Order: sequence, then C-alpha cells, then structure tokens
Amino acid sequence: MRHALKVHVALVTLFLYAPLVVLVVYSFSASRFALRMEGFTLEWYRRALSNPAVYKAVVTSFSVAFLSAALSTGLGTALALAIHSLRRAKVAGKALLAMGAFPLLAPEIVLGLGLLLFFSRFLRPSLLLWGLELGSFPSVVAGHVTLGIGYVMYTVRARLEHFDDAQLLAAHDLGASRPEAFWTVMFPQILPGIIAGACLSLAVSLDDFYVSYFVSVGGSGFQTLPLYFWNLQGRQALTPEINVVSTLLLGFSFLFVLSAFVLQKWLRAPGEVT
Amino acid sequence: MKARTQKHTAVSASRKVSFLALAPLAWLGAFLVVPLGLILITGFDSGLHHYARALQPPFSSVIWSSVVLAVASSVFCLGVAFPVAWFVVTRTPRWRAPWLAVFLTPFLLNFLVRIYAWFVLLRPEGALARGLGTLGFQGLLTSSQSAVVLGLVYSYMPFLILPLYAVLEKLDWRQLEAARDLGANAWQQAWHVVVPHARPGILAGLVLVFVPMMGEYCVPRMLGGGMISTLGTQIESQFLGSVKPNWPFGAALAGVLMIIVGAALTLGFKFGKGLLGGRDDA
Amino acid sequence: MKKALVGVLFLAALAGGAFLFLKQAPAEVPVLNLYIWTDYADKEVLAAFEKEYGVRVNEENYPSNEAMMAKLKAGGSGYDIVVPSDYVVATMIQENLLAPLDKSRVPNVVNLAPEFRQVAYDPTGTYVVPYMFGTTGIAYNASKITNPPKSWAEFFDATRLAGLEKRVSLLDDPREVLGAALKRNGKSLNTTDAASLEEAKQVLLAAKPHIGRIDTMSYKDLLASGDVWLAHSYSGEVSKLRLTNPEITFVIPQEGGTIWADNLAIPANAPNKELAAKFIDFVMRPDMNAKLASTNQYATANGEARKLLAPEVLANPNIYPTAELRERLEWFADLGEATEAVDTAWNEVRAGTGSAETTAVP
Repeated sequence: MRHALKVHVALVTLFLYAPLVVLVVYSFSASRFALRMEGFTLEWYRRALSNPAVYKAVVTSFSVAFLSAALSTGLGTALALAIHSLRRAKVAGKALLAMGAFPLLAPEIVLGLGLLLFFSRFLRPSLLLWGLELGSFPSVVAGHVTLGIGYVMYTVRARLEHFDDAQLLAAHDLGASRPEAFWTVMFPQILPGIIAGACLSLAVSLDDFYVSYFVSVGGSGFQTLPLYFWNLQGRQALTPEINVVSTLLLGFSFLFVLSAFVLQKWLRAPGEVT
Repeated sequence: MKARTQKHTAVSASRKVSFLALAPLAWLGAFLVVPLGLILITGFDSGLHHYARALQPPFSSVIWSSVVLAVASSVFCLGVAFPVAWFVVTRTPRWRAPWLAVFLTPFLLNFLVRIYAWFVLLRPEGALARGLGTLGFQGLLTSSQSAVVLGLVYSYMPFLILPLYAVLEKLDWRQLEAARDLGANAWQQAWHVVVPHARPGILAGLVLVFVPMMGEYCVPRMLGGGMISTLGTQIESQFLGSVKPNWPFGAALAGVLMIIVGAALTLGFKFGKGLLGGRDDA
Repeated sequence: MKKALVGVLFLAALAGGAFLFLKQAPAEVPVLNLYIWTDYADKEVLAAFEKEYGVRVNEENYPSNEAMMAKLKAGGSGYDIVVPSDYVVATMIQENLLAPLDKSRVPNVVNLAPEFRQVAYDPTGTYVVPYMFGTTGIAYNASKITNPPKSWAEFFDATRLAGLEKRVSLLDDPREVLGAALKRNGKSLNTTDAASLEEAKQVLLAAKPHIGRIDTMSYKDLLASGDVWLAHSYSGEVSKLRLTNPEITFVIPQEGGTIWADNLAIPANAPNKELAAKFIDFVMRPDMNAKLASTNQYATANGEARKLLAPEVLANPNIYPTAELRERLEWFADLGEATEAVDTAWNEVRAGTGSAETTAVP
C-alpha cells in the first residue's frame, strides 16, 4: 500500500507538471505552426513582445487588475469588519457573508451572465455617463471587484478570528480615541490579511476569464491577456505566438502568487500565533 | 458611569461599523444581487415557456449529461486527490507545506493556459496520445469525454486537496493505532477510521468541485473538440454564439444551472461542515 | 509597527498603480475603430490609410459573426466599421444594427465586379460594400486520404469515414453543417421544412460516431499539424495552408457548396461615420484592395483589383471558382423565424446518439 501511494503521488506530480513543461518547450519551437516542435528559436518571443496587441492586452490586464484589487481590498476589508461587528446579529452577518462568498462558490459563468444582462439592459439608459457599458474598462473592473471582495473578506476574516476585541476596550481605557484604537491596535493585526487579500484579488483579476468574457461580450473589443489568449485560437494561422503568450501568462500568475506568499510570510512577526 | 460610557462607545462603534458595511453592501447589491435577479427575470420573460423548453429534449439530455459529467469528474477527482492529501499529512510537519506547494503551484497558473497545454498533449499527433499508442493504449485518453473529464479534474483538484488536507490534518492518530492494535489491516483502518473522520471534508470538497464543473464552458470547448454539449456551452451559445441569440432561453438554462448548483451547495452546507468558514486559512 | 507602515505603503502603491494606469492618453487625432475578423486586414494598408488621412486606426478583432453581432445587439458602440457575412447582413439590416451608407461618398464602389454591384442580402444596396468572398467545401490531407471524397455523399459515408480514426472535422455552424447534409440529400441550403431537416439530421447522426471535431476555430491548425485529415472547411483557409503544405487540398463537392461574402458596413451607432465612409472608399481602391486580397488569400469582390493580382491566383478555382463551379454554389438566405428549427436540429445532432463512443481530436 505504501508503494502504491508513492506511485500514485509520482503519477499525479507528472500529471500536474507535464503539460506545463510541454508548453514551455513548445514556445521555443522554430516551426511556424503552434503544434509542431522543430528546432529552437527565441523569434516568437521577440515577435510576441513587439506585437502591439500583446502589449495592449498586458497593459489592459494590469490596469484592470490593479484598480479592481485596490477597490476590492477596501470593500472586502469593510465587509469583513462589518461581519465581525455583526457576530451577534446572526442573520445579518450570515447574509453579508453569503453575499461576499457567492462569487467564490457559484460557477463564474453565472456572475458573468448576470453582469452581461445588467450592463446591457439595466444600465443602458441611466449610467452610461459613468462609462458603465458592456465591454468598457469600468464595467470589467466592476465585475472583477465583485469577484475579489470575497477573497479579501476571507483573508481578513481569518485574521479577525484571532483578534481579541478586549484589546480595543483596553486602548479606549488608555485614552485612545476610536480611530486611534483602530489604527494602532486592530489595523496592524489584520494587515497581513488585507495584503494577502489584495494579492489574491490581483491574481484573481489577472486570471479571470468568465467575467471579462461575458462583460466584454465574447472578448470582442476589450481584451485582457486571457481574452487575447482565448481569441488567439480563432486566428487563421495559429503560430507559436500562442505558446509564448501562455508561457508569459504562466510567468505572471506565478510571480504574483509568489509575492503574496513572500509578503505574508515576511509580515508575520516571528513567534506570532496564526 | 464608566460602564455606561463603555457601553455607549461599544454601541456607537457597532453602528459605525454597520455604516462601514454600507459600501460593500451597496456594491454587492448593484453588481451581484441585481444581476442575479436579472437572470431570473429574463428567464421568465414569457412565463414558463423558456423553462419548459429547457426541460425538453434535446436540452434535457444536455442538462442530464452535464450533471453526469460533473459527478463523474468530481468522483474521479476525489480518487486522485484523496491519496495525495493523505500523502501530505503523513509527511513530517516541516515537509507538509513544501509538498502541499508542489501539488498546488500548477493551479496558481492561468487555467486557460493549463487547458490549452492539455489540448497540445492530447491531440492524436500529440506526445501523450502517441506514447500511449505505442504502449498499446490506442485512443485511451483522446476520446472527447475522457479528455473533458481529465481537463475538469486537472482544473479543480485543489478545491478538493485543500479541504481533505484540512480534515485529515486533524485526524486523531491514536485511533489508527488502536485499530492497528485490534488487528485491522490498512484498508480496514482507512475505511473504518480515516473515511468517517474525513467525511465532512470529502463532502465539502466534492461540492466545491462539482459546482464550478457544472458551469464550466472553457474545458468542454477546448478539450471536447466541439463534440461535448454541456449546460455551460449551451448557455454561452444562446447568448454569444448564435446569429439569432435567444437571451431569455439562455437565462432559463442559467436558472436551471443555479437551481442544480443551489441544491448541491445546500447539501454541502448541511453535511460538509465548515464549507463556508473552513477555507479561512487560505 | 515598521512593518505595518511598509504594508500601508504597499497598499498605497497598489492604489497609486491603479490611478497611474487609469490615465489614458487623450486622442489628439481622429480615430477609426475597425472591428474585423482576425488577420483579415493588411497592416501596411492600414498604415497607408493612417498616413494619408492623418488619423489613427484602432483595429480590434472578432472570432465570429455571432460575437460581433452579439456585441452590437447588446448596445456595444464604438465601432466605425464591421465586416459581417452575407446572410448576417440581412439580419443586421432587419434589426437596425447598420447605418445606411451614402454611396456618393464612396466613389470607388464603381470598382466592384459586376456580380457584386447588386447583392441579394442588401436588396436596396444602401448598407454594405462587398469585401472578400469565398466558398465552403471539403478539405483533406492528400498524404493521408488516398481516396478523397468528391461529393457530400462520399464525405458523410459511414464506411469511408470508419477508416479515418475519427480525424474528421465539421464546422461549428448550424447553417453550414445542416446545409451540407441538405445538399447531400439534393436539397437547397435554405430548406426549412421539418421532413427535410429531419432527413438531414439523420445523415449527420449516422456520420457522427466517426466525426472527431466540430470546430470553426482551430481545425485549420490541426489540418496543418496532421491531427485532422478530412475537414468541412472554408476555401481561404486551405489556400493559406497550401502556401506551405501543398498536401492540403480543397474540393467543392459535386452536389454543391456554399458561397459567401464578407462586407464592409457601418454600425448604426458608429461614432465616426464620415471617416468610416472614407475608409471604405480607401479599401476599394484597386491597389489597396489587391494588397489585402493577397494577404488574406480570399477572392476580392473588387473587379479592378483583380486585374492587379497574379494570373495564377485568378486561375485558382479554389480562390476564384470557375463559372462551371459557380453553378453548384449556393448563398445562404436569412431564414427568419425558421432559424430556431435549424438550431434545434443542430442541437439534437450535438446531443444525439453516438456521442458515448465518440472519439475526438481534443
């Protein structure tokens, strides 16, 4: 049984990594077809990196990600704090929790679809002034924020669970005003959760396909990097550029998750109980 | 006197915090609750007509085969993930985190890219199919169903590894020792001690993978070669894939999806302890 | 505390980054928003237009007629030019998605070949200018298929298909696939009566166990890589593949295939209709049009431009079908309400029997 377990783990590891290795290898293929492996070249990297469309998709992806991460960090933290303060009001707290968690639990296609209907029908006459129309930058950001709020809520709540409210009372007793007590006592303790949430929502936004796909009506017009990647499949000659773009995407998401991990590790004071 | 001010402070503080909830509440109300409501309203555009059409052939068989596909993939996923979680918890504590990282890192990478990688591997001229072919397993993984199941398992495995790891980590090892002392073999130990203990994690994990699998669109599209029709692909095509798009019908299909997913989540909440709270340590 | 400070700085940097990215350069020059199929516009032609008119062209791509139309229907504005296919034009006109085009602003329409001066899908001739056209038929890899099908009857023949390891692909398009099956039964592409659709459906269900893909997106790449041997295909894709792989061959089946044309049109809510008309006129210049046609390997609707193309291109019946071939080609008509019947038949084929053992090129 012990050997069987080891064999299983070895096979799963192979299962997990083999496709990624293959993709990276293919991105250096000299063949002009994406699905052929011949020789070695960096030519496709040069082309992809000098392609204005790739560049534009990268800038779009990062703009959306930074803005939506900033917004969802604020909103998600507020939501976690509100739920924390509503511990006794069971129903209200649970309702807020369920709302925040819904986008994480439900299939993303549902949120994407809902937003497609929302922006195309509901908002069309009223809020166009804000640029909230299908396929616009603000509407995609709005969708990503809704996704990100839940992640921030979770990471901040995880910190709040270890937070003793008596510390706030103690601060009051020592003469601190409420904001002072919050910023000097509570905030530093939940900060790692906030930062982890920020990084996660950044990664979620960079990774998102469904919400962007539906809000931009099939990735037409407005393209983040995953949407650009998706539409590359529809190209008339699939060049190894697609392998290069995927390798770049691999690199980006890896970088962000790694930085979230390092930051959180670093922010955790030595000896602190987590 | 002091007590009264304290109480006063606490009350106004909670009021302040409730005030704080207004911003996220307004946001989620506008960009989550209203859109979901719109799906329901749109689906009932002309009474029950669209729902009735969704529940008749050929769409009823699409719904059914999506459920079968998602259930099969979830169970398969469990078969792959359980031993992995077991392997990780049986390492010495300092090696658990690195091993967990080994199994979770690929999931941090963009999922479209991961599916595309399988597309490259699984086509008939791809390395895997050829390798299996020379070993005598011609066409083993290249059928559209098995390719989609494989893609779904590959995409959602961490949602199962994490809850399984969380419950298995809290296993009382003395129970296993006791079972061993009473003469139970490895399988008996697993079945009578480990599985009952892990049941909440198993159920929560199964729901957590089943739900997104139900609504998946990219995996059947990229790996099914267009031969696999699921709720996800049908919904997408009713909205964005037809010259005569039928939004109310697509919304009705999405309504069916939400009902199935809602039922699964309800079961998950009921039997899978800590489904909502349990992932806090992320 | 120091760490908290660094943390706050990090969050501030995040917000700062967001605002920095938000600052988008204001457009000083007029912009033409071109919304077109991927790889359908030549970069040099666009650059020439930018230079001549002192404007900037913002090219965005769509993968299908459906995606483009869904976007316009949903209220997506901001496009000056779209390039819909023929029968889609009829639907778009009906749904008021296109703006009428003042032909006096496009003097170069005189360059259109005679057969494209008046097109059935734009009966009043007020909305579109035909751009490129092509056909739909059968593509195969001659090194793998020794006895290639010459007709739809042979293409859908189960015994022939059985030996092909399911390396067969159909277009993911209800009209095209049911059209091919209708043609196989000697019917018109635009037949909508229930009995004929049912017969067509049966043809497809019988062939389905041997079909590996239903795909308009990547079948051409899989033809190139040898994963797909036999495909229901658009002509231009094969012409492009043949530039590097002469084994890939295109044939118009004996019963007939589809002929279609893509058209330059201006959406009803286009922000810059005047510039759009100038662009259409520019593209209709013979030299520019010839350049576009040689890049995308489709047949141009511009008669004057054809005079500038290499004789071997014009003589290639897979790009420019001969008069004899033309006889066998049929246009799609807008089916109106009957579209739903075709969609349902198609869904029944997709969900239908045979799927259990269907092997796919994933």
